[in-house]
Amino acid sequence: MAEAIVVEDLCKEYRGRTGDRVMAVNKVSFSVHEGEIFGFIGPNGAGKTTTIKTLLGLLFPTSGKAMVMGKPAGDIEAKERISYLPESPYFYEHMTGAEVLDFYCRLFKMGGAARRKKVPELLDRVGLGKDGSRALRQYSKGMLQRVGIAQSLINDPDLLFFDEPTSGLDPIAHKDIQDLILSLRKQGKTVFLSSHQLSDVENVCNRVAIINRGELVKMGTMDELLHAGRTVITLAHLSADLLGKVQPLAEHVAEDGELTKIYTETEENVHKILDMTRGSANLVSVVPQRQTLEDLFVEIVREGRH
Amino acid sequence: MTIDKRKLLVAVVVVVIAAIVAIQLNLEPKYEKIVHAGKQIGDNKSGDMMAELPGQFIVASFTGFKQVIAGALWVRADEFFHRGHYHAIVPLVRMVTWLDPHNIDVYTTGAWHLDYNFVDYANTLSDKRYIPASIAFMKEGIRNNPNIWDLYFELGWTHYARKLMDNEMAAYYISEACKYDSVDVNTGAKQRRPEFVDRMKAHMLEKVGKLDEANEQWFAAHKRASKALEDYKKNPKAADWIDQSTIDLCNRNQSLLLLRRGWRYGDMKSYEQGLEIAERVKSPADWVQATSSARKDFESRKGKHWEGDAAKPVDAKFNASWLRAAPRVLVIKGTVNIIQASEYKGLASESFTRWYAENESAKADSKVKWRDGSRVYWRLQDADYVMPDVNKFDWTTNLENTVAWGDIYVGGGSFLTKLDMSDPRDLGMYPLKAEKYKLTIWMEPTDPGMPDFVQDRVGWRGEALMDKECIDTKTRPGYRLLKKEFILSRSDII
Amino acid sequence: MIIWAIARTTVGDALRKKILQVFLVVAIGLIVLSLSFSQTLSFSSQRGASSDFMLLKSFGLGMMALAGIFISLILGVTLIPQEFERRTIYTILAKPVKRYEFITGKFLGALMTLGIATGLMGATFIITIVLKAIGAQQAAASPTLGHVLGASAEKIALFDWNMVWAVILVYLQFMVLSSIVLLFSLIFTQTVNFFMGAAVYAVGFMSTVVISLGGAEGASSALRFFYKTVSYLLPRFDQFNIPNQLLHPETQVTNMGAYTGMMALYGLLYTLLALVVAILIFERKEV
Repeated sequence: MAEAIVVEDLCKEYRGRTGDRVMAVNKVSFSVHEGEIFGFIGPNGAGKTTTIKTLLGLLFPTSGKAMVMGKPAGDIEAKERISYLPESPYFYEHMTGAEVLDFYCRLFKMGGAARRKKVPELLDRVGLGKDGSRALRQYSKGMLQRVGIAQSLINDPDLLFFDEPTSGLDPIAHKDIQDLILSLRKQGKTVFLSSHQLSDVENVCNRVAIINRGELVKMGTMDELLHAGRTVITLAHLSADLLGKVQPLAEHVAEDGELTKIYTETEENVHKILDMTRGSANLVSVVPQRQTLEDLFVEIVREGRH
Repeated sequence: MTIDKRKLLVAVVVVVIAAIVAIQLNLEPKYEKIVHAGKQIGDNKSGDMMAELPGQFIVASFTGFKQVIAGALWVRADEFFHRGHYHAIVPLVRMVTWLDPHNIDVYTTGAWHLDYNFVDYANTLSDKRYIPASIAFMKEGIRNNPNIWDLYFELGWTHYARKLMDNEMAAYYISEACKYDSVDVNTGAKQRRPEFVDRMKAHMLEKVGKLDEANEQWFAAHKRASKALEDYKKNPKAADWIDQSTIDLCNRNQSLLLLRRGWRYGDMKSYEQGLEIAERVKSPADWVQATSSARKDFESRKGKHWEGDAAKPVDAKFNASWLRAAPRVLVIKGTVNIIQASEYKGLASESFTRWYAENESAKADSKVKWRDGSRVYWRLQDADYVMPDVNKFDWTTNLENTVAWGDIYVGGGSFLTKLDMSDPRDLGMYPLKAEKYKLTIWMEPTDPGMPDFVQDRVGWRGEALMDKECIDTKTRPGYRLLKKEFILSRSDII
Repeated sequence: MIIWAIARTTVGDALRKKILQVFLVVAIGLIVLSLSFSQTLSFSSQRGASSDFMLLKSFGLGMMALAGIFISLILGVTLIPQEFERRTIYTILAKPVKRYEFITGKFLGALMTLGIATGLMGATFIITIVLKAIGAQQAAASPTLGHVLGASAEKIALFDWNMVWAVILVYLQFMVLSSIVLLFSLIFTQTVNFFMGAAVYAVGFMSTVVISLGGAEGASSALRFFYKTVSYLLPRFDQFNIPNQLLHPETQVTNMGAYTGMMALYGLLYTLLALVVAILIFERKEV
């Protein structure tokens, strides 16, 4: 499978006003396969937008490598095949929706006839067919977002960067965008989806990378990340001696009166613990826990904070 | 962008900078030539103002820095003035007062400039058509600055008295001036009105024959000066400088008023009062001697019937005529028979005046003053010309009119002058567009430039003035003057 | 075509700036108003006619220059930073748009906007003068007037090409100023840039003062060299302000067309210089 994006040891350092240095992105490496929806999640300020801007050639990496569509980031030829929807996009307010799209079409050197065909098509696609002749200053936030999406579809791109595409939108618009992303997936497009709205990512993404404080902390397919879920073994009357032996195998141990909850991550350990405690303690329950991405995210972010 | 392309662009930058410097070296002399071109043009052209005044300057006056801009413009106007670019000043003056209506200097200088500085080439006569504008401008200044004496005085003296010879109006405005003090421009502190303003009021009242009022004013001026002298002696640092000479001046002038009243109308009481005051003044020596001469005359007349010097009619034998010497050149001449000092025999005033005229120890300029120096006036204008009403003035002066006047020195009882309107540069000042013209030649005793001995002979208002045909009592009601009028047609002049 | 698209959009955007519209409307209004008030500034009618013209022209040119300078500064200062504020620059540069195309488009857009503004003001200015001239000619042509006025009436030309040259020169200085400020806007914040731009204009406008400072007695040769260098490197805005020929018809010194052409070349080179430096900076700028 070809790679749409390859990032190796990417570092981006900012120098603050007072001269102090901030590592916005620190030794991040990942790759995005063609045809997949890649979720890029992290809290605000984690380095998501910096990474996207670096991939688009808007920022220059301090060190490391960033390749997009097989070309170095920022390459004009690669830009023919990609598109970008920034977070809360704004456009020239004096223009109508159709005029803005016409302007963006011109940036692709599209001829007049092609533009006249393309613009209404795009407006229809994002549900603005009737509002194309209204000035943008009359548009709601959701409508502007739709214009943003429309401009990102002009060149029928192979790779799309969506930065927080659903932020601040009502549930219906939210759903529309999810549908759009799913349809892009069906068409075989690659989508690099940055978000802190975990539910979006969870429903549409093939793979997810979690970034926190500039560092990539977890990456994998949804199944890998979530199925590697924990199992909670609940025991009653576990002796202190035995607890000491079990503890190294456990991720986390919680005591609740007579009950002891042992969290483990691998199946192997589940069996070991059950073998060790059999007969010495009363087994109350063994429950495999399938984590939500949200749990995972919160957990990672919390760890990062310690 | 590749490194090579960057290097190329840097090279472009270097080349462009070199090209800019090269062009600048080429442009500079051209620019200098254009900028200084205006300065080579003659003085009567009006383009000079803008030649050196960027429009931004004018527009900036709409910003908050009005006074600053006004000041800068005024400095500019002053430069033009010193270079003789008079026409360039006029709009500047308007603009400065418009921006800063409290700049007194601009009003006085601007109005004076209008009155005096637009002169023709041939006769150096000023363009009289601007006088209404000048007076209206002064009146605007007074409206904007009604509580200080400066502009009232300036309007009365410079414009009414000197330029229009209208002593009534001059007396009115100078009287107004005496109601106000002034303000220091820099500190805003009250500034005492100078003594000469009060004295000038008395002089003007005397000139128009308001003798009692003039006498009162001399008392008032004397009192004011005495008070100032007292204050100054008490605290020299806080008060304006003043000394005894100012008081003496009041005394001398008041005594002259009273003496003349005595001489001219045979008023012995006034004669005596005048002598008493005159005798208080102990310097200069020639004054003391003249006074004692007058005292002897007074003693010789005491108790005898005497009607005064101005009771005896004087036949002026006024005659005036004109002729065209060349196209656009008129010669005005005539005779007037009463004026020479040599005629004053047996007059009471003679005791005093003859002393000045003949005493070897008197100063040379005083001698001339007492010997001769009377004048007649001529005025040539469109027959239907009426001076615009300065109270309804809209600032525009109709330069299609022809209005000119001037004075002629009388020597040995005759006068002669040439009015040359033929210089091509003066065609604008003498357009001569009307069909009919009125030429007036006249003489009036109240002319402020006229020596006092004329009024000694004919009275303050020309009471003793007689002439077979030229007596005029209508021009200035209450005064008798000599006047002769001619109607000329255009072809008479051209 | 990309440059053209960006330029066009910039013009549309710039012309809708309220502050720019206000300057434009006020300037045009005052130029029209100057028709009436110039009369009150002179003391006479006929002799004043030429001084009225002079004042009208000088005022009109000054008004245009002042309004245009503010418009140039505002445009130059805001055009590029606003792209960042609105994040439009990200969508544009994410498209296959080369950075130099973006900058060149912005420059072109600013120059076109200034062209429209100058065109509107200049047309108003010229129409105002022509109206005034028609009035003056009618007055001068009245049969009662003699040869004196006749002569001055002949002098009142209805249309004077020098007006066009003057308007072009006024535009050229806007071009130079806005280019410099556009370049600065890549480096400085908006407030700093506004005052920097104003300072460059002021120093350039008073170049003669700078030069005479350099020639001042007692100045060391190093200081003199410094002033001389400054006067050659800074754009000489004073050289664009040469209303003499226009206001002073008697001046017959040089061919205004040639001078204007020379100044146009001078202005274009400055603009090119600013553009190239801006491209060099923008290529390396993180957005």
